[in-house]
Amino acid sequence: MNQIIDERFLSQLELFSLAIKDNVAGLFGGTHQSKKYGTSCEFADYREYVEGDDISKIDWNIYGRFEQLYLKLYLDEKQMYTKIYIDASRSMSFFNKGEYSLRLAAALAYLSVSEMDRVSIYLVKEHSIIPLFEKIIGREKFFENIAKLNEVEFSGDVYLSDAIMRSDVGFGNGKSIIISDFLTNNDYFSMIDYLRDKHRDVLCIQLLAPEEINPTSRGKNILYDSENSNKFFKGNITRDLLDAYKKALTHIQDGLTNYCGSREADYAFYDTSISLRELFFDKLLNKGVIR
Amino acid sequence: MSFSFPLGFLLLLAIPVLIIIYIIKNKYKEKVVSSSYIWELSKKFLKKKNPLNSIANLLNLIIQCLCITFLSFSLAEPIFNFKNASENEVYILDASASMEMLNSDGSTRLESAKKEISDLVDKASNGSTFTLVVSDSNSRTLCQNIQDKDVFNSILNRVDIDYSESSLENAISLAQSISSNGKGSHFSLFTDKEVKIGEGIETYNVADTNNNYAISDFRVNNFKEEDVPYVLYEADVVSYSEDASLEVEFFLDDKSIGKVSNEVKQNEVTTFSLKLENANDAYTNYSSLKAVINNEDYLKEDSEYIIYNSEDFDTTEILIVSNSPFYFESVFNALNSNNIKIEYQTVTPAIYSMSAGSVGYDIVVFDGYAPEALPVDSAVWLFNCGDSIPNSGFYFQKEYTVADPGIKASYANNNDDLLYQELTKNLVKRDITIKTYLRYTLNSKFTTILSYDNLPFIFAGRNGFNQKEIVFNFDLHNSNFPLLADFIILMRNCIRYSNPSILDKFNYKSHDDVVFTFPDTALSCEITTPSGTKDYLSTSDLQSYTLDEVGTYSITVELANNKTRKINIFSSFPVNERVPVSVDENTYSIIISADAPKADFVFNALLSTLIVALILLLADWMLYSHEQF
Repeated sequence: MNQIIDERFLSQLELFSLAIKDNVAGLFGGTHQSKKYGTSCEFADYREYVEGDDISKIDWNIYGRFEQLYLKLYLDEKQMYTKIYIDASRSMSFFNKGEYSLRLAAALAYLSVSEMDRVSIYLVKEHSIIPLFEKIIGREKFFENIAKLNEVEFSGDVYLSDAIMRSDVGFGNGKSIIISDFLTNNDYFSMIDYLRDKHRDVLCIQLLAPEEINPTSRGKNILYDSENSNKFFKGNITRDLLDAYKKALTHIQDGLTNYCGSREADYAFYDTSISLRELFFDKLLNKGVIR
Repeated sequence: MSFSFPLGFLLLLAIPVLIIIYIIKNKYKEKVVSSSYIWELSKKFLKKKNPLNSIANLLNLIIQCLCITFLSFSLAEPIFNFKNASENEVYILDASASMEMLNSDGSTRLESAKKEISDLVDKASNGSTFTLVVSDSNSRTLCQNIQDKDVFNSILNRVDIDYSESSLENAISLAQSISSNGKGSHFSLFTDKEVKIGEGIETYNVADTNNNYAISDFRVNNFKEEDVPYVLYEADVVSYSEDASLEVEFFLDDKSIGKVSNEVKQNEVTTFSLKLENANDAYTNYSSLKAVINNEDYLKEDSEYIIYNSEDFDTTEILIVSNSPFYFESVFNALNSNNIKIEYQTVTPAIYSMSAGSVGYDIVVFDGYAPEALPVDSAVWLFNCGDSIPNSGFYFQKEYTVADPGIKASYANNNDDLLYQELTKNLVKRDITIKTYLRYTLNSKFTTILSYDNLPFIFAGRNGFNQKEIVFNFDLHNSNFPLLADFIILMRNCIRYSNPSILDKFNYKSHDDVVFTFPDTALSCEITTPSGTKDYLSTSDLQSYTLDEVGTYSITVELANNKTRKINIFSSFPVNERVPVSVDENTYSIIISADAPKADFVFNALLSTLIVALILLLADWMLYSHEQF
C-alpha cells in the first residue's frame, strides 16, 4: 500500500483539497472555503516550507535547531469530518477493485487529514459498517492507522443503505464518500437520501474493472454471483447480449447519475485500469471532486 | 464423375471429430463473476430475439462441415466427363524446307504455324485430344491423342524444319488412317502451299510473303582462247515472284573476286557469268568457290551456292622399298596426272632395314624384300617377297622358275566377292605370263585375284595388324604384266582399295545420303552441321550420313600418326521448295465417318470445389467475427 501511495504522491496531493459544497453547514458554522490550517491558537502540525508559503508562518526556532524551514500550522476552527465507506463485499475482491478502492480511500483520507479535517474509514459488510479508523486528525495519526487497510478482507454481500443508515453519519459536518461497484440490486438510493437529509456532502464513486465494462466471455455460460451462489445467470453470451449488457451498465450509471444529481450529491464512475495519479490529477480534478 | 485422388475423402473423417468437438464445446461453462445482477439486468435490454442467434453455433458447425466436405472433394480432385463434347484434334504440320521462309513479322512460316496450333490447343476445351502429323521427307505421327496441352506443346515446339520436299500426300494418308481408326474427329492442315482441299480438312495457310531469289546451279570451267587461259564462273539464278534486278557476288576461298548484275525475269533461269583470265593459275587452286545473291529476300538458305575442291586432301602417300622401283614409279607418275594425287618416296631395302620402319604412309610397297616386321599403321603391298613375314597371313615355301614362255596366270572367277569386284573393276582381265614365282601357303582368309592351277598369284585381304594387304607372288620384271593395260588399272584399283577417298562427291542436295569410305588409319570422324551441331560417325567400313540441313557441313577425320583430313561439303536447298507460293494440284480430303468418336469434355472441379470451400470458410469466419467482435 505504501509503495503505491508513495510520499511523493502524497506530497503532491497536499496541493489539493476535497471540494465541499458551499451549502454544507459546518458544525462550527463557518464555510469550508476558509478551512485551512488556520489562524487559531491551537497548534496542529508542522510541514516543510514550500515556495510561495507565507514566510511569516515560518518557525524560526525550528530553523535555529535544524537549519530547515518549517511552517507552524494551527488548527482551523471550521474543521470538517470526512467519512469514507468502502464496499467490502466479495464482488469487490474481483479483479483489482478491492485493492484499488483501498488505495483510493487512503488517498482521499490523506487529502482530508492534510486539511486538518477529521477522517473516518468504514468497511461496509452485510448490514453493518466496521470502522477501520475513526476521527483521526493529522498525518501522524493517518500514518499510524493506514496499515489497517492491508488487513481488509472482502467477503459476503452488502446492503449499503441498511448498513450506513444504521450508523452515526453525523450532521452537516463534512463529506461522505461511498466507494463501491454498485453492481447490486440491493437498495443504495435510500442511503443517499439519508445522508443528504443529514446535510452531508455525498460522493458516490463507482469502481469497475475493464472486464466488467467490456466482458470477454462468449458462448454458453452459467455465471454464479460471487456474493450469493443461489443467484446465477444462465445463457448464451452473444453479441446481442453483450450489447444488452452495455445498455444495462449504462442504465445503472444513468440511474446513479440522475439520482445523485437530483439529490445534489456527486457521482463518479472510474475504470480500475487507470492509475491513481491519473484518477486524482485528471479525473477527480476535472470533475471538481478535488480542487 | 471420377476422382483423381480418392484418398482425399479421408478428410471427411474430420467431420465426426468436428461434431464431437462441437458437442463438447457446446456445454455450459460454469464461472463465478463479481455480480450476476448486471447479466440478469441485460436480459431486459436484449432486443427482440434473433432466431439466427439461437442456431448460430449450429450454423457455424454446418458451414464448417460443408467446408470440410468441399475441401475433401478438392483433394480428391473430382473430374466430370461429358460424352462426345470435345474433339479429337489432328494437326497436320508442313515442316518442309519452304516453311523456313520468313514471314513479314520476321518469324518463319513454321514458327507461325506452330503458334497458330499452340493457340488452337490453348483454346481447345478440356478433354480434347491432340495428334500431330508432321509432313516432311518422312511424314510421321509425332504424337497421338495426347490430352495434356503442355506435353503436346512441348512436342510441337520440338518440330524443326526438315530441309526436304513436302510430302503432304503421305501426311494426309496418315491422317486418313488416324480417322479410319477412330482416333481423329477434326483435322487441320498448316502449310504454306496453295492446296485444293476437299472435305474433312480445315486449312491454315501460313504464307504471307513471296519474295525469293535462288541460285539453282553453280559451275566453274577452265578453257583457253588463243592460248590465254581463262576461268568462267556461272551461277544460274531464279526469281520466283517478280522480275528483278539482282547482283551476284563470287568468292574464291571467301575472298570476293567479282560481282555481276543482271535483270532476271520471273521464273526464268538467268545465268550470271564471271569470266576471268587465269594467268599463273591464279584461279586454279582453291578450297571453295561461292556465289551469293546480294539482294535481300525472305529465304537466305537458297541465296548462296558453294563448290568445294577435294584435291587438297585426297593425296595418297606411298613408300616404295625396292632396289628396282622403275615400274612403280612409272605407274604412280602416270596415275598422278590422272585425277589421283600420289606422293611417293623410294628407299632401298638396305636403307629401310636400317631405319626404324615406316611411319605415316598410306601405303608401303615392299618389292623383292621381306621386312622383319610389317608396318602397323599402313596398308602394305608385297611383291615377290622371298621369305615369310610375321603377321602377313602366309608362309613362303619355295621359288619356282618355269621354262619359256612361262605359265599363264588367269583372273579368278570370284565375281561374288566384293573385294574382287573392287580390285578388278574396269580390268580387261587378260592372262599374265609369268616365268618365276613364289609358292605361298595362306593361313588367313584372302581374296584371290589372279591364280594358276589353284595357286594364288595375286591375293588381297587383311594382315595380322588388320591392315589392308595385297600380295603379288611374282616379280614384275619376270612377267609381262607391266606391259599390259590392266597393270595401270589394277594399280589404280589397289590404291583406291588401300587408301580410299573418303568422299567422291562434295555437292549435294538437302536430304541426300553421303557415303563415307574411311581408310584403315581413320580413328574418328566428326561432322559439324551448318547449324553447329556435331555428329560423330563410326570409321569402320562404309558409312552413310543423311544431310538434314542446308549449307556447309565440315567433316574432320582424325587419322593415325596425328594426321587430320578436313573436308567441306555443301548441301543445297531443295529446288521445289524454293518457290514461295507453290501450288499443289492434288485435292486433299479426309473421309470422316459420321459416327467417328469424339473426345469427352473433361471438367476438373478441383478449383471450383476449392473456391466453394474457401467461400464457406470465409462465411464461417464472418459469422464467428460477427459474434465475437
